[in-house]
Amino acid sequence: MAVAAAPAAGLPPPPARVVSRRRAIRLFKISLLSPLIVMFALVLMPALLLQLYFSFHQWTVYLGTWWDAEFVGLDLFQEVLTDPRFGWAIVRSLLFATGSTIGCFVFGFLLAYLMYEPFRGNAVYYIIFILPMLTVPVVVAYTAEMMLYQSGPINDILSRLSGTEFKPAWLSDPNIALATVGLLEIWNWTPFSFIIMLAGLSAIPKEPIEAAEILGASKWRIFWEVQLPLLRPVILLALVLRFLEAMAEFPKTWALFQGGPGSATETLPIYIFMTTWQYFQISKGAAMSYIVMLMMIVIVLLAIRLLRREKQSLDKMYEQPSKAEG
Amino acid sequence: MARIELVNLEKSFGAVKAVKDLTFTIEDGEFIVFVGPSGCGQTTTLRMIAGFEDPTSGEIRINGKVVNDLEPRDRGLGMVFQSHALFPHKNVAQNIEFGLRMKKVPAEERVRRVREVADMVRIGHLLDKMPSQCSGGESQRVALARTLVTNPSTFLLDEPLSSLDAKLRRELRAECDRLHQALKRTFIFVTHDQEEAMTLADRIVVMRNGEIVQVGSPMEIYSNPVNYFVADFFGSPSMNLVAGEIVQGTAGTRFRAPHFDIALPTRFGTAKPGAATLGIRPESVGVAIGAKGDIELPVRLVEPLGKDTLLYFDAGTERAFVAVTEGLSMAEIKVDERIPLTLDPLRIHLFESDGRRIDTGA
Repeated sequence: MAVAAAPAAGLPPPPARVVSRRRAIRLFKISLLSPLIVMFALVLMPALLLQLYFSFHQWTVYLGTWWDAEFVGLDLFQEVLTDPRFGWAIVRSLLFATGSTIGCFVFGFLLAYLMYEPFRGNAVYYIIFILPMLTVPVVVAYTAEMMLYQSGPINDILSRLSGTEFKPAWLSDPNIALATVGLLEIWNWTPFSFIIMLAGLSAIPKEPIEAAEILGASKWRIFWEVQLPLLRPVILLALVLRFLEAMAEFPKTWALFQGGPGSATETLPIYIFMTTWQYFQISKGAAMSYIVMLMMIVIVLLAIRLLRREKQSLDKMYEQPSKAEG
Repeated sequence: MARIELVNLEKSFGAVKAVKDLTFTIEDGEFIVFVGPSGCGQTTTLRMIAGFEDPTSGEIRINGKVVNDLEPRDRGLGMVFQSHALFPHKNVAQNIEFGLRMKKVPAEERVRRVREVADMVRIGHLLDKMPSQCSGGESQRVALARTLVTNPSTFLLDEPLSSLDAKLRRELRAECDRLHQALKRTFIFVTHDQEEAMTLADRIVVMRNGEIVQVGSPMEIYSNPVNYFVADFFGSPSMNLVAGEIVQGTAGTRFRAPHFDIALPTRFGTAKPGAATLGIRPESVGVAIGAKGDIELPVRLVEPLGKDTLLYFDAGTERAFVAVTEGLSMAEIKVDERIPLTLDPLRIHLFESDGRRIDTGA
């Protein structure tokens, strides 16, 4: 062991202490990750493999044992990709997710902007604003069903406020059904965007804002020129997370519409569910799920790349204060 | 042109009174330094002048006009922050240009003026860099330039140098001084560094616990501190302070402490007997080798600094009793040697037990 301490020419091997430290760190990392790995191996992996098996074999519940199912190659994928109903489901899901994400973000950001400077009683507002997120989506759907009847309280209030007969059929008009779910999604999940944006706004250092203030910037210019650019990574995060969640929205849509009226609210999760458990086309459902999963993986990878880039630029921006301490 | 008056200014944060009944006038073109230990209310005062904090009561007037309800941007002031507060997503030129853009100055003029101030604070070569690529000193110059370019009537500087190392601090201190002389604007500078205050200020405002303790030129503050706190706060090395008592006897007024028994100058003839603290600056203590001194103390440490030599004596007090002697002639003094010392009678201060200076009437 004494040899390790002796200085050697060129690159000396790292001392034993460093090696054992590195090993300990690696061990620690593995031990932290192991529950996740075990869960992945025991739960997620079998499900994914089974799904993969089904998407290459024609099988459904009444077709005998699943391990004897007929191998059909890529037939099912071809079927799904040429299915116009699947195409429309994608369009509806994208529409729904985009619209509700923007809605959640706009309202969430607005509330966060109103709330980020502490004021008396802000905790009460905070709780009120968070409440929708704590409500179970199915409860949101059933409550909405009662409120949104054509001659129900919402239309009544809207009519009284506007002074005109305002009676949209929120729950039965195929032209607005998807928008109805979208509005509910916005109501349900604005708190999520609110919390993220509130955290982001509160994390911006105060001094650049005050500097802008005394240099003559109005509130609007400060927002536009200082706060918004500094918030970019947070905004991106809020949008991406909300979008991914909205793509997977199922409970409210199902509880209210089951894909109807007609196929007006038949989004991807609804269509996959119907294919699998109403038409019992288990294999087609599996193939669809795989395609959707690949789609989402592409979106997630893109999002991670974007987020990483934003984070790096943010880190670079904030390098300076620490340097100045020196 | 800016004459700033603070009238009965108060600021409370909940139950904490950060600034208490502050009345003070800053004349046009003056370099004022608010100084005191951290948290004594100087920064709060500055932030109230800037308009970032609303006073709990009292008035702030700029050129006679009450500005309490004016937004920061309408007060015509410029501010430099301790943390530089540059916009991290804008390059140096865009940072400097910001104030001009907000005032809708045409583009060509903006470019010209940015160049001008960048050259003035010697950062012309940095204009394309991002703040993260600038060093601490450079960042603070950029912050100065960003303020300069808007041509404010008054510069508010909130501990602008405290995040820099000693050498940069001296350099930028000189820069501030130069800018003040060149621009002839009002400067209000907040610091907790007495040396910064001494070197920069026309007038120093010493604050403590939200109150003004003393206002005066650096020389006044240094040679006539109104109380123990000011005496102790200013000067490096700090004033020697020895706790003891004043005794009135047949031999006149004397000051007694464990190693001290000295006759006080006649101006202290009317001083009340009792506990008191004697203060004398290290440079007013004379080393009288071979002669008869006022006191005789053992040497604990000799610190030859080149230009001066510092002698640390044991006076039985917590802090060593320090004397400054010119050159290195005293560098050979041995530790534990007992040295006779003289105290310049004109430079002796006495403080009452509550810290107030015992006035001599002279």
